[in-house]
Amino acid sequence: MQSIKRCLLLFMLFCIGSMFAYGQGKMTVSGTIKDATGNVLEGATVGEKGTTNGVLTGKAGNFTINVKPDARLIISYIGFVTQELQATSSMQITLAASVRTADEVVVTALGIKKQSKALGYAVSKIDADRIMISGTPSNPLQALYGAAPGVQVGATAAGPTAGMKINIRNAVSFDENSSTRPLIVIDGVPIHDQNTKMGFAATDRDNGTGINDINPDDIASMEILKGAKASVLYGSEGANGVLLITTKSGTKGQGIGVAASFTTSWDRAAFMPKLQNEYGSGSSPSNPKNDEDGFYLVNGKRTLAPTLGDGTGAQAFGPKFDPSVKVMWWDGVERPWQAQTKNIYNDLYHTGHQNTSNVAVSGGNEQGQYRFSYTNLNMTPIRPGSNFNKNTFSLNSSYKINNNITLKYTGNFFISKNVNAANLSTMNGEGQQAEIGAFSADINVGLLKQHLLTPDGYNFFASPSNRNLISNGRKGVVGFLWDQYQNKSNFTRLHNIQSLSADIKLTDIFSATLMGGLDYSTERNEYKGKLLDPQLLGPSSGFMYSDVTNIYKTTYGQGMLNFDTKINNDFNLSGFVGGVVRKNSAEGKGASVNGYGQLVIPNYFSFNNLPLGVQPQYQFTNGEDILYSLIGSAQLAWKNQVYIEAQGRQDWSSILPPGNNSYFYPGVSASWILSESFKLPTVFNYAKLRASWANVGRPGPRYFSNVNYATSQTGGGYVLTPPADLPPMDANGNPNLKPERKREFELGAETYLLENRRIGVDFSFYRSHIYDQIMAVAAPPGMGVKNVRMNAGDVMSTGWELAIKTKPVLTKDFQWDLTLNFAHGKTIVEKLDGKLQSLTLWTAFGAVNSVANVGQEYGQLYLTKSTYTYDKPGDANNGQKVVNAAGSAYDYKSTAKLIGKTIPDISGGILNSFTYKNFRLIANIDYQFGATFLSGTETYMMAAGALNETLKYRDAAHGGVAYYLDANSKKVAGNNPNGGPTFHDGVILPGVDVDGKPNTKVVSADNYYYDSYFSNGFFPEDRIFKSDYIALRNVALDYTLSKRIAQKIRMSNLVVSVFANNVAYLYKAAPNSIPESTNGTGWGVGSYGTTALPAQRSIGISIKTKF
Amino acid sequence: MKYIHLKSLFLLTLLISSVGCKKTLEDLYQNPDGYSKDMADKSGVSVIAGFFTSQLTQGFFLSGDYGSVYHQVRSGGRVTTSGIQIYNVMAEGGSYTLADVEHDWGTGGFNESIFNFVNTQWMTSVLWAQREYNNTPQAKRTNLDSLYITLLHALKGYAYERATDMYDKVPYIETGSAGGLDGLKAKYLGQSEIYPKIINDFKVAEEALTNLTLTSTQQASFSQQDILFGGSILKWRKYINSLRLRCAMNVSEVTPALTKQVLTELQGKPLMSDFNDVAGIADIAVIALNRICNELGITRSFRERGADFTAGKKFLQDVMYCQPVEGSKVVNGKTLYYFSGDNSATGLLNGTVDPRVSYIFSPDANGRYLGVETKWDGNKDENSYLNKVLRGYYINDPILTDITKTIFYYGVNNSLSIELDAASKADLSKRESFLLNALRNRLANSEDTDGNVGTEKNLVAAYNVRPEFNFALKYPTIHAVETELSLAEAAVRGFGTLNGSAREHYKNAIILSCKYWYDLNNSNQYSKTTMPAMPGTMDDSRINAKPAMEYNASTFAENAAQKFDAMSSQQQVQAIFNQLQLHYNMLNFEVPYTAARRLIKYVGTNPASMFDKYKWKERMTYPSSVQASDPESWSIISPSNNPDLPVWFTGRTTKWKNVLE
Repeated sequence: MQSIKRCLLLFMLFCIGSMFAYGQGKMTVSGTIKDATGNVLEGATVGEKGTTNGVLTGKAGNFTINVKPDARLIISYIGFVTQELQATSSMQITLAASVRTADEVVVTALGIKKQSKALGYAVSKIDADRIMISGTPSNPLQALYGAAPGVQVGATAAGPTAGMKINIRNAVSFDENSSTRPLIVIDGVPIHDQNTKMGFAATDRDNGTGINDINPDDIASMEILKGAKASVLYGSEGANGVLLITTKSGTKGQGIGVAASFTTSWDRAAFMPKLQNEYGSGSSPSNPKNDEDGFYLVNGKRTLAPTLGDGTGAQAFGPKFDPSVKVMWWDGVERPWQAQTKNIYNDLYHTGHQNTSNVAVSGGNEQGQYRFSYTNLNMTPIRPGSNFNKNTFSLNSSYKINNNITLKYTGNFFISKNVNAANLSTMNGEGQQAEIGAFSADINVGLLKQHLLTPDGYNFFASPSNRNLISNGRKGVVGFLWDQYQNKSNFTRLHNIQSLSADIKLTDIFSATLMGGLDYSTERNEYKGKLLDPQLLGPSSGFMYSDVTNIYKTTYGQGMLNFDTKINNDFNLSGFVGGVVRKNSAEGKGASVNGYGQLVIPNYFSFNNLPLGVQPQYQFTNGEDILYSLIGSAQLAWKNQVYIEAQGRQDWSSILPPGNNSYFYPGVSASWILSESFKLPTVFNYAKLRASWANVGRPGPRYFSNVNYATSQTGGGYVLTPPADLPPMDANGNPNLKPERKREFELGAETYLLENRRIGVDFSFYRSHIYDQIMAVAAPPGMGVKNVRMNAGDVMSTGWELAIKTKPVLTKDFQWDLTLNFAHGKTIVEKLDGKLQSLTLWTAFGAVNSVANVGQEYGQLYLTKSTYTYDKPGDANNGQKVVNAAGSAYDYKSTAKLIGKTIPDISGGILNSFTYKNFRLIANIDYQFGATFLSGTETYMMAAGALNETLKYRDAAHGGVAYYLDANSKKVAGNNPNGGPTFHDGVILPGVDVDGKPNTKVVSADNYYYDSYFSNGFFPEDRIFKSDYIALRNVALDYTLSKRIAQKIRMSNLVVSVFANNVAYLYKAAPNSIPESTNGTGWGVGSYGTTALPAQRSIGISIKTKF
Repeated sequence: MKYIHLKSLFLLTLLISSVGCKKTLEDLYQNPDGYSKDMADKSGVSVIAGFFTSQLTQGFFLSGDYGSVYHQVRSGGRVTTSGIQIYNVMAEGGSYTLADVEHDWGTGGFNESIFNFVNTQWMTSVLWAQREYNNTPQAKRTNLDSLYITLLHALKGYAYERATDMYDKVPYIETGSAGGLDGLKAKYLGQSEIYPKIINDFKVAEEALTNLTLTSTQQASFSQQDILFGGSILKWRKYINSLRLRCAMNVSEVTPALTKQVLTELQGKPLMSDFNDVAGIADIAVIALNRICNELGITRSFRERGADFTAGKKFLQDVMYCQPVEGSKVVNGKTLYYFSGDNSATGLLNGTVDPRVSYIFSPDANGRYLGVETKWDGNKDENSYLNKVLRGYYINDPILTDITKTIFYYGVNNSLSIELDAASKADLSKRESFLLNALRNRLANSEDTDGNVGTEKNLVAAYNVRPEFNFALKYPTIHAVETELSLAEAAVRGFGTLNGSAREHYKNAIILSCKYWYDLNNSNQYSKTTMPAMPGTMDDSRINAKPAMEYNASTFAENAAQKFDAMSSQQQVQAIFNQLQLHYNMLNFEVPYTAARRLIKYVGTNPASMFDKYKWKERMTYPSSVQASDPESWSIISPSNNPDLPVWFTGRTTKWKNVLE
């Protein structure tokens, strides 16, 4: 019986669309529509509610329409607030400009809708229009560049299908497992979200996470809860802020509407390093392997250098291009010595393309609404051999069962497939490519590609007989081409987000809201690595098969008993009590086999292809946690002027040790609408003050405080390996992990100035403490543990945010909307464990530590080895830089040197929107200043001689010093007195030796660049740049077809847009890299990059229409 | 009444659900894939036994470690020169400029690995076992618990010996303390403080083991858990006493009285004395089969550092007496010398050449056991050692006299060739220098072997892959040969005579080493078709090339002992060092490095034969991360964080300097 009822209910829900009726009868309505300044509005839409009947206003703003006698009219115009009015025969209508108003309803925690004026804290709302200015981004977080003060997003080197960084108000942690990403809630359901990154292994590709699936076309709005009070109802999960995404729903009374859009865009590699194309691969002419001009000799013949020992000698420090010189190539053909390309990036990458098609059907009446949407996104990234495809099905419906019960169902189903996403080996800046000259201009990518495959389908260059045929740089290119064209990484994600809710009216005072939801995703990561050559065995054969499936599941239930009562004429009391239960689980299962010999038949990718008795490497992971909560909220309103709210949440979490797993999270806030209480000068259209305080939490990683031993067997004995890190536990060994906490107070003011609310200002000041921070403190050496895990730290964040929305120009035909966002923050480490003064957060390049020092800003970057000066006061050379014994680089010592920090001082955005008649031009700018980004590209390409900057010292014209080789092959500065060759690529570094004597040692330019810039063990100080930038992120030009014409072709709306994304860096501090070229999204790998993967610029066209 | 029922129902539901919730919270707290002490206790599993075995399997403790060995072969090879990095001695391979391992990309891995190991992996299991032991009431401690904790104390001493040898001051956890698990921070102690402590710990352990008896059940359990010595208490005693001897010799320069005391105390105690007495675990025992060859273990580091495996003249000629056969020829009016071969064929049979020539090394492409000097060869001396080696390939070939021949064939079955350039084709007088330069260039750029080990194309003799790639090889952290050599040195230098004279120990060391290396060759069951398999790029012949026979080690050892008899004490100590370095060669960098540093004062020079162009290094430097994690201690150690500063046991304050320094 129960199930029959359920079936009936579901049937009813899906049949809502067919349950609408339409009225009869007519009257004539005439009128004029103007804006607040009295300008008539031509082209405004006047529609009869609940029907498709509508007209447009004429040149004088006039309209005439026949409607049924009791009709209500919907009047809308781009840039103005849509009005609904009772139809009368003659109507004079004034539309207000659509700035955000105090009466605007925003979605707050737990999906509760509130009037903006009642909020005692900051909430940033990003509407659908703002989201779609960049076309249809493959990841909706891309729409947040510069969109809200205090909210920073950033792509990574892995490109648009990978994860994106997101951080609100400089959320920081001391343990990368303790994520700083906000909680992401979609239609009320917290979804599985995680940091992603690239690794070196073939299967360590960045395929993004759950948020990547969300289709921007289906988003109605994104609300960002930044402060502690805004997110206090999320209790132990609210400390990083919350990103609430509400998907589009059907609307009442406009009949069955169909909306369709098509976006197509093209991507090109952009913001590449400035490469030199005067010199080819090879080494200094003073190298005995070369002739006097630097050409590598084989049997006396000028030849392209093959693979040379110890990884050196194959950088782009070879001879200067001279087409009159013939050089023997690896394919046995002599060719003129000249550049093969203007920019090798253009040979390695192609033009990417993305098509997105969306169709949505929606409708509704008083009894229910629905919206069904289907989207197909097909993308060919700029990396050849890669492909991304996503299909999205979205259903959003509501049904009013009776006057007391309304049901709502939201279902989003995503199927995506990502082929050959990037990993760190894809264009590894460190080892195989940049260091050894993959970017030398003499490399002919097409020729390598042409020879790549043998007739049997193997790698021509991997054959043992050919393994040293080509230079290491060319090998890098071959590796890239092979991986992209021959290997296959297939990543598929089936992702399902469902929620069902019921609003139940109990009495005039009491109501109830019940909600249940599910976020379920299955990720299958399959890798097929092709056998390079049948003569190779083991992992170096390239033959690998891996098939791993991870399932992430979040189930969520929420029930609330709401009340709303008027105490007297002045006071109103509202709120709720309720409970939440949320369960997360993850399970992974898979197997892999790595190496020819482990698989029998070449390129047969199946676990049926194993040798007798051989088992693949299995992997199993399991994890589950649960959270129970009680929640309560009460708001007291006084005369619509003052709103005071108190909220609290009690959480019980299985992540915390039993007996220590329950915590309470309280919050209070107040807002005061000054403009309602006082008669302010007329310039103040609206003014409000707000204040809040709250204490929220962060759950920490699952099983973080378990004390477990790894088990294995060796010989006949069992092995119990204790944890390398000491888990948080008391003196008796009992776990004592607490949740991480954040307490924050926030003060804010909002105002609208001038008529038409021409200027809107929203200002917030906050100070937060993230305390009891979980951290793995690198144990002082000698404790016998690697790290001591505890929760004790305290980081204070202070900042202010300013959002200004203005309409500098507002005339009849032309409107300029300007939105400015600005955020400034400082994050100071107040305490570590009480004794420690310093904590290393992460290390990179074997040479840079990110450190939390007590009393200093979080995430300071230190070089662990730094150059130094001669220190002998009174000596003439005191203060001179010390050169190493070889003279090839400045000497360095193990002395920490502060070089920057990871948290920016300021960030923000500027959004310009120019509307002229039916045209709109949008320019979105975002910026960031104050942080430092470490780029391996900047340094490895110097070591490789690839960058334009490395032309210095290569010849006399570029400042090279003359030198020759003496009888012992030692380099001696000056011209050769013995009649032998004199070389001109010498470098004598200004400085002194360790004894203070001026450096006189001459080295060749390739030695200088390699020793000074190949940064493994040190990081060259002149390659450290700020991540400061001002980016012209998006430019879009829209044309909205005149209503009159649109109607003639039976459309209610048609917008054509031309847009460009990642258009330009108006300013950036780093000459050859961009801050978005990081290895991943976490705070460690999100602060540096080691690949030479390029970013990309997109241009596209979109057509959006409604019927 | 109705309300009472309703309320009761409500309360009951609340109670049941709260109990259910509590249970769920507790159940889900424990990682389903994790194993806890609670679970062990409930099933009667001894965690101390598990920790003991875990300690034996720690990376680079008793087995190899890819990263550490890689850097010890690469950077360590530049310091002690156990193998010749030929590109560092030839103008064609690089410049003659002072270089050091401190300014090299591998410096971090080379300098810091032992420090990081001793502060984490090498201590973790010891401390967890100690904590468990300390928390177990005396009455509940079993014989096995006491045995394991005794052995772990000895292993802790071994760990600190390795660490303090490299850095002098290291953070030291007192024996019996659970260190960081009890919230204790270790103090930085130097060699002068650590050595007396660990020498005493070894003594205590030996005494405890002497008095220990196990029931048959306990013995059976111990035999299962003891993957190092299979449950043999005697072998453990030999090991611990040999470590004690090693430590005593390490401090002999600065505290000879302690050395003498230990020698006296070791009278009558068992020491490592058999060729099979080796403390080490095979990589294959602790690493999954399918990963061992290419992924982990010392074989991967050997494979990737193939170009560093060239043989040195010092070992082949000066230590093992494999003499080149020299000839001369007048070419273009000049007398040019060359090595036509060596005396190994007869010498190995009659005992004048060390059998290890054919066990540890492989001949060059022409079948000669000829190595390379560590001195810089700038190709300025026509008759340099290297040129004589290379000239041997072609000097008697008709190509130098027959104008019609334009391609020079050499190597096994003449499988290798060099084509003359146009000038040499036309002019016989240019051929000698052309061929010499061509061979030099091949050698300098590793073009003869393509950087691989185990080929038959090597122009100079190289290390033999067959014993080095024996996956069953127990990583020799200490071996009976070292013990014998320590006893020999102690006798030479007057610290005490134990179980025989210096001569007898020296001779016995050679015999044991010969047997050890022969056995590594002979017992190697692995090939390209086994599991695990040899790298596919290896030449089959070298993998499969067993020594022709087991040569008579005693005859050679007696010959060597006679030479030893004729030496001065300093020369004898140098000879003992040479045997130590030859025996451990590419497998153990630290022991010869330690011995070289402490013997510089006694020998009067550096007993290791350095490359001319590399700076000598007196100690390892600390990870700079200590500065952040422990600034207080950094202020203690940073003044001595200098590779040029000799460590305490050297008895020196002045750095030994190389040619270019």
